[in-house]
Amino acid sequence: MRSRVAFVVGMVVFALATGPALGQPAGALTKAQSAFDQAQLDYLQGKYDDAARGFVDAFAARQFPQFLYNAGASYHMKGKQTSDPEAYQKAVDAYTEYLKKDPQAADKAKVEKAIGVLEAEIKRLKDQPATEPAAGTGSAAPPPVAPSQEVQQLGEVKPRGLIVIESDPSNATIYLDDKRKGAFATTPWSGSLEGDHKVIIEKRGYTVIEKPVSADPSKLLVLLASMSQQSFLGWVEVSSNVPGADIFIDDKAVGAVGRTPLSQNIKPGKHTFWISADGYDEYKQEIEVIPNETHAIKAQLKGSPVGKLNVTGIGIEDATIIVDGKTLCERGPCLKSLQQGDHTVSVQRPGFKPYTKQITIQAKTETQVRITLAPNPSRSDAIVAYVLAAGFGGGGVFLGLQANKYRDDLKKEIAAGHPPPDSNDPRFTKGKIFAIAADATFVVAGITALTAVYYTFREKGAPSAGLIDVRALALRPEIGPGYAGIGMGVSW
Amino acid sequence: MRTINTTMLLAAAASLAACKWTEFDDLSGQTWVESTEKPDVKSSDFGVAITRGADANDSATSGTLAVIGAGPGTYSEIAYTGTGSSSLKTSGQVLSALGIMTLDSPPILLSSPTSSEIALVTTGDTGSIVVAAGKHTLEIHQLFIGNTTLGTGVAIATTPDAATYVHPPNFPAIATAPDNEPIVAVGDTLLGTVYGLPTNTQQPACKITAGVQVRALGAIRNVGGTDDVLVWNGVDGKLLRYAAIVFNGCTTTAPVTAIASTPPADTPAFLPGHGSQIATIDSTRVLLQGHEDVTKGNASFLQVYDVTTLKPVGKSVAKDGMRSAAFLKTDTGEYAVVGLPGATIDGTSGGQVEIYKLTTGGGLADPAVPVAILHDAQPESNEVFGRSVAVVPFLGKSVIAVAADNEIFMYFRANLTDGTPLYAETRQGR
Repeated sequence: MRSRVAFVVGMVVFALATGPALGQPAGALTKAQSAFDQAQLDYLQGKYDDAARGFVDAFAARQFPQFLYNAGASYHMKGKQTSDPEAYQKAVDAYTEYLKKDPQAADKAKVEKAIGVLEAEIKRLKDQPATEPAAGTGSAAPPPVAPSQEVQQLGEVKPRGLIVIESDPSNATIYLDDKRKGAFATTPWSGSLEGDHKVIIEKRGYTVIEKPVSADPSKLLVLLASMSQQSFLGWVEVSSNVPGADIFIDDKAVGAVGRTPLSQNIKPGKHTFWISADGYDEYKQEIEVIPNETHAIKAQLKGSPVGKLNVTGIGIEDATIIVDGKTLCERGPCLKSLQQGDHTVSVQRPGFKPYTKQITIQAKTETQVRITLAPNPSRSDAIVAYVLAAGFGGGGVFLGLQANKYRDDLKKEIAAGHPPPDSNDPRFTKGKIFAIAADATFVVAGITALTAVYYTFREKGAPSAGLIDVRALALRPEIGPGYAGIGMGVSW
Repeated sequence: MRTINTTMLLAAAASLAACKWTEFDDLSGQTWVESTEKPDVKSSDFGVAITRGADANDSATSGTLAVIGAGPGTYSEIAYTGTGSSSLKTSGQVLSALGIMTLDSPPILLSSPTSSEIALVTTGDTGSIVVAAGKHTLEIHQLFIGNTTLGTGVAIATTPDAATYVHPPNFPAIATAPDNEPIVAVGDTLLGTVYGLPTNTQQPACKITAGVQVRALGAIRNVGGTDDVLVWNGVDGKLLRYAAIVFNGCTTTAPVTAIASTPPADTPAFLPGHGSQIATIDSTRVLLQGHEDVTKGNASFLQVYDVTTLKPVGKSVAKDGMRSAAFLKTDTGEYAVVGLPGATIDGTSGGQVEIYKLTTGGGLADPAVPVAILHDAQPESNEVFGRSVAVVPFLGKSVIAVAADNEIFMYFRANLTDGTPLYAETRQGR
């Protein structure tokens, strides 16, 4: 206990002596980094006491809680190696102080478990009777007691690397990779990252800074953004009642510049903002940006529940997808949001039979339609039927005209009586035959024409088909630095 | 859309050109002429001769037409209803049963002027002359055996030259002579026929004055009710008139005496051949239609004669092709109906019937040109339209009947060439 109090007092005195980190950012951070690097080297060489002191020195320079954890880890490894209760106690003190400095630490549970295991190990070691050195061995100290099984299960503990992002001035917004992902944090920020990233630092009235970072778990990486002031820029704050809505500025063709909520510098002048989200009507607002002034855009998006329609299939890239009579996608595959309800989906491709289906789109679902379009069959039979119909029709007209000529001649001659036709005049029979033949031919022509029409529109061969699959879209809360909302994902 | 338009166009064209074939049935019922084609009789040449049928004079509601068919010979009667439709009343009585195997060309077909009787005079199968008569059905009326010497050396041939109905004075050998009886002319001989000739009584026969060649016979009613016989002489073309008493006088033992015509006939310009006709108009006039024998030529002649003076009246027609004639009297006047079966119509030798106007109580009007021409509206080659013509009583009127090849035309209404009616509609309900 005495050594624990001495450690804490030592650290506080050291911290007070070095002053607040933000007050002396440049020298303190350099000192902290130097101490960190030496401590890492000592740790790798097994000089755990030196390593722990180095991390404490780094904490004294800049009070990043991670330094305390690393100090604890160094004592932890020493204790494990030597079964020294005092080393374990120092590790417990450092871990405890670490959690005190960062109560929201992501590894809080894990660290608390380690503290419990180490405290039990301390007690076990102290309760163990002292062992005299064996006579004649010449050895000064007995061999260390093996760590308990619980300690073994904690595994090897290593110091952690640290990324520190600071800006001058501070309180700038940090974005990772793409502003459309939303704000990540504000400066100063320290923590761990994995992989390569692009860090975007933005603050009202200052130049935007973009820098790449490659996270190294064994190093202290310091990104210090010195931001120059630009007084000619305006500031815009865009928010919407639907979090995560796409934001377009001035030209939709360049794509969304971010998602709500968004704050950023913007050049003075007239600008047009579009805020849109699937299933909602697009919100549009024009603003006149004035330098050094803040312009707030609060979009109220109106809409109704939506589901997704996903049309795929072989050759879909040459097909047009039409929903409710309007072209939804010029080319497939087509993944679009549709309001829930019944929709008539039609897929048309030149040379292929169209596929048309009444599909019910349900909210929070993705309706996938996999199309198999059947090629258009030959219509030569219809053409032949049309030609025959025209031929019969023409023949019928000819025969009808002949019949009418006989009729008219007979009428005329009967009326004139000069000479009067007799009751058995062959023209009566001929005319009747022509008339019957004409009517019969018209009937045949009509039947042939109807057949041709039938041939034209009949379904020949297999029709185009679609396989419909409905999948649930899960709505889940999303929380990010500076925003909270509902996100949508697909599961099946 | 193009398909629909094409279909609609076809439908429109079809509706414009579509026909009601029943219109032709309606039109057929509106014609003026009832045509009767050869019914189901055995003759292959139907209608070689026609005349008014039995009962024609007795019926006030319809008409009948007697028709002779050839190859083989048949006798038929066509009955016409008041509306003009026809049916067979006598369906092809086969004449071979009467000993008539091959008909003369043309056969002599007579209709009694005073009764319903029809008579056919032609050559029989055993070198005889057959007179078959009756109502609706013909029966053997008289049979003249050929190459027989009758009376005082009068020899008869087997082919009749002419015949007509006469009403002779009572034959002394029988109590009651029939009203009208056909008499037959053979060469220069007249042969009388009498019902109920007493057994073993020789056929009455008179030889007319030598040099007379009978080619047409006619009869003229005298005031006393008897007839005089008219003879158109094929030797000199003169029309002769004999008192029928000579017919009676030339019986049994008395030698046949040639009888001079009295009064002397004028001199017509035409020498008639076989089949020439003398059609009675009234008690003073007859219509002479003469033509050459078919083997000699086609010339023909038409003239009205005054039987009291035996002189021609009015204009005459001399042209080729006239083969039959009939007298027609209508509300619009008197006409001569003449058949020209070989006439050419619009380049087709289908035949035609010419109608000549007669002046009131006179002869052919001047100019002697047809006032109407009838022919088949659709003439066919060798149709021989008009090879026989007849005037038939129908519902109290007179209508024209025309025979053609296997077809009979009955004109219930006819117009003149100028469009005025020859006679108006005669059928009921029209």
